[in-house]
Order: sequence, then structure tokens, then C-alpha cells
Amino acid sequence: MISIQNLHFAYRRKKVFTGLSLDLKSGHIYGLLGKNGTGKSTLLRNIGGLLFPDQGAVQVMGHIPGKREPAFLQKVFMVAEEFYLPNISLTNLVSYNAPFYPRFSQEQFNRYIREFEIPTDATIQDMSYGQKKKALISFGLACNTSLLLMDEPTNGLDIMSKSQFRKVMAGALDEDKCVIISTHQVKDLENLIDRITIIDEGRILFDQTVEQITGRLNFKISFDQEEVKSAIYSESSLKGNAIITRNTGGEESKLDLEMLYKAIVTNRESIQSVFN
Amino acid sequence: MNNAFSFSRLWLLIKKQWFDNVKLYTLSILAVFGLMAIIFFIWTWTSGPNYDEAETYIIFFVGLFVTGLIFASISFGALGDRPRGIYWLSVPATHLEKLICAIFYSTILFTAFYFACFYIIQPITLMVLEMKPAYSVKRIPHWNEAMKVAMYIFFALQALFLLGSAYFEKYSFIKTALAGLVFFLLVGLYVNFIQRNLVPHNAGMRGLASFAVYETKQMKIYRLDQWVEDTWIFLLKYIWVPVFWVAAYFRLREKEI
Repeated sequence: MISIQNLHFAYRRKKVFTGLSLDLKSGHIYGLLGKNGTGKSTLLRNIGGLLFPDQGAVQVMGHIPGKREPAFLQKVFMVAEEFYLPNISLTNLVSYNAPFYPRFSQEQFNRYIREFEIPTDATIQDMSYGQKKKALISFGLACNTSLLLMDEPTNGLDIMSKSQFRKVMAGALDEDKCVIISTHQVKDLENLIDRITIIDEGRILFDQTVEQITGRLNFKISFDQEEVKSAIYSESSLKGNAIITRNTGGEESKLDLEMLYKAIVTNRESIQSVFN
Repeated sequence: MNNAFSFSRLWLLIKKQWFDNVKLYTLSILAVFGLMAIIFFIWTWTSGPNYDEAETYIIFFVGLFVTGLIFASISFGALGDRPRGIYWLSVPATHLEKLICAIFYSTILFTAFYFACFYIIQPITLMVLEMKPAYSVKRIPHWNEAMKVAMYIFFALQALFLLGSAYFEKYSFIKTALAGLVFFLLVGLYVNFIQRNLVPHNAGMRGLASFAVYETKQMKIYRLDQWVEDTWIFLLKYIWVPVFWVAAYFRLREKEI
């Protein structure tokens, strides 16, 4: 679905990507993780056709995003971190934007609005930031675009809304769609993402499916000091030592995304050696 | 799917633009109407008892240039703000359709509303003045050549400010005005340079396609074919608007947010 080959991109003085390559397929929710300023949003905007590569190629569903052809734009929806919605009612927002998206479903939109508990009689200006964001997410999902790009979608959402978001997202994916979520808030999306891509300094630091990760790594709490010492990554917590070890016995464990992220950032070679 | 141009998509875009900005447009129309009414009121207050309709056209053109150029300079204002720019550039329509939509609002609709405001207020004002026996109103029968030329200049400048709004993310009105001034200054200096260095000191341009050569007791006029002058006039009248629109189109295509 998305093929990025040897992507080079720089803002005036600052290089962001120097040869990034990545392939993303439909039917997955990709988690794009990384520190501030590593280029997550820049990558999403390159995929969405809002920025153009300096070198290399980005292809999305056979289109070159930078051309911004309607046939491409109607298959892509972007929920930006800083977003804009006009000051109109939700009904008008749908009436005048939905016709651009041939697969838009009013029924789905109504369902998401109900699930997110967004007041339908208010204009967008009357809504809180979180409500606006949920309205945008609802609209984006109801457009049923093949590609959904989400930049920090849970920023500004309260605890209940984050839970609603996870529920809505879990039910929205099908085999034809691809969702890319860029986030710092890894805990919010732990059970949602099925492939994790970590970017650092313009390159891919880590790119594995959740199945591969849990097949090769074990996430657990340990009180055994020997086990803690030999762990790939460990950190002490109130409950004991949270550790990551090689999964040699085929044990099942629950992925701790935050811990994995920290392990990759601090001890990349050890983690990568497990996957080589 | 037609990725070049679609009338149905353009219509959707025009509708969307209207409803996204309905408050701004309504307030703008009311503001222009109200401002013009106030200016006419002041004019009737200060210019009596002998009124000249030609003076109302000074109000017309000053207002048209000021409001029209400001309005044109916010046509692509969304591109100066990342959230609004993402919203606008992501709409599934071509750059050409988006440009035509901007032209429709900034040039066609704005001018139509402005004319409507003027031709509601001006005839009523003049009619009221004429009803008073002590007042006289000097009428003009129709638009004169200078007024037509002013309209050509207006459309050319409006296209320039539309282009400026695509080029300059912030303060596009001021930056376009400055860029325009610098451009015309450079053109003036260039013409002056040519005239001083390439044209003999006893010769000068007369019009667009004639030269006068002054000799001790006589003056000779050299005139190029009429079509040369006609072409110059045609280009000066009509070339600016398409040139600036085409430049704006290419600017939109290359715009990154």
C-alpha cells in the first residue's frame, strides 16, 4: 500500500530523513513512535502529500502523494495534531465535506458520534478541544478512506475519551484499510497497534509486528535478581522489577510498549540481536 | 476519475467554501455596505448644495481598490497557518479547482457584491438629493474611458494580490504591495535606462508605437504599424490577470505545509 524508498527530506537547515525506506501494508494499524523532532509528523505529511521528498520516492496506493490528485486525496484522511475545523455545525460539516469522499457512511458517523458522546446540536466553536478532535476522528473514520493518518490522536483527550477512542478504532479497521498512528503516548495505543515502527534521527530504529515481538520477547515482573541481571532491559517498579527477556520457551506475555520503547532507545543492539 | 478538472467537484468546493466561511462573507458584505453608506452620508453632508455624480465614483474606486485587494490578499490565507493549510490542501479537489474557487469568491462574487452595494446606495442617495429643490446634482451619462481603465487596473492588481496570498504566508497584503512597488520601480528604471542609453537624446516615445525625433526646426513622427499599438494595448489590458493566475496555480501546486 505504501512504499517509501530512500526518502531524503530536510527543512531549511535541519535534515530529517537521510535515506529512510519503509513498506506498509493494508489491514494493519501501525504505531509510529519516536522522540520529539525525529520526523514522525514529517513522515505522515510526506505520505499525505503535504510535503515533498527532496530525494527518493513515496508511493501510496500507486499514487505519488505530492501530486495531490483528487483520486489520491479521497483515499486518504489525515487527523493532524494541530487541526482546523470551520465554525459550523456538525451536520453542515458532514453535508459539505462528505461528498468529496465516496465511501463516507453517515450511519457510521452517527455511531461514532454517539460512542464519543459528542453533542450534535452544538457548532464546532462551542465544542471543547477534545470534542472537536473526536468529531474530526469520527468524520475521518466514517470517510472509510483506505489510509488514515493520525498524528497524536489521543493528545487532549480525557481518560474516558481515550478508552472510547481505542474502542472505536478497534472496530474500524478492515483488510482494505491501513492506519498509521504517530504518538508519544504509547500506553494509550498498546492494545490497538499491530506493528510498531520506531524512528530516530531520520532512520528506522525498529520495525516489527506485535506478534513477532511477543514471540521473541517476554515482558514480565521478576523478583529473581539473577533473572533481572540477565534481562535485556529492566526497571524497578513498586511491584518488583519489570523486565524484558528473550522468549525462548514460547511463553505468552503482554506487550509493554512503553518499556519496549525505552529498551530500544537505551539498548538497541541487544533488542535487535533478538530479531536478527 | 478525472484528476484534471471536474465541474461537479468545483461546485462542491464552491458550496463548501461558502458554508465554511458563511459568517466571514456575511459580515464582510454588511461591513462594505455599512461603510459605503456612512461614506455617502458624509459626502452628502459635506459636498452640498452642488453635487457631482463623478465624485461618487471616486468613492467607488477607492473602496473597490482597498476592499478588493484586501479580500484578494486573504484568498489563500489558509496556507499561512498549518492546521488550516492541511485542512484546505487535503480536500479532494485539484489545484486548478481550488484556484478557480478562490477566483470565484475574490474576483467574481466580491466584485458583483461590491457593485450591488454601490448601485443600491448611490442611486438612492442621488435620488434623495434631487428631491430637495435647493440641491443640484450634476450627472454623468455613462462610464468614461478613465473608469474603464481603472477597472482593468483593478482586476490586474486583484490577480496580483491573489498570487501574493499564495506566495506570502504572513502579511501578504503588505508584502505583495511592496513587491509590486519594487517591480514597477525596476520596470521604470529599466525603461529610463533604455531611453537614456539606446534612444538618441533628440528622440522620444509618443504613445506605445510611435517615436518623435526633434530636429532644429521640425519634428518627425515615426509610427509603427497600427497592429503593434493594438497588440500592446491588448496585452496591457488583458495579460496581467492570466499571468498572475497561472503563477498562482503553479505556486499552489508546489505549496508544502
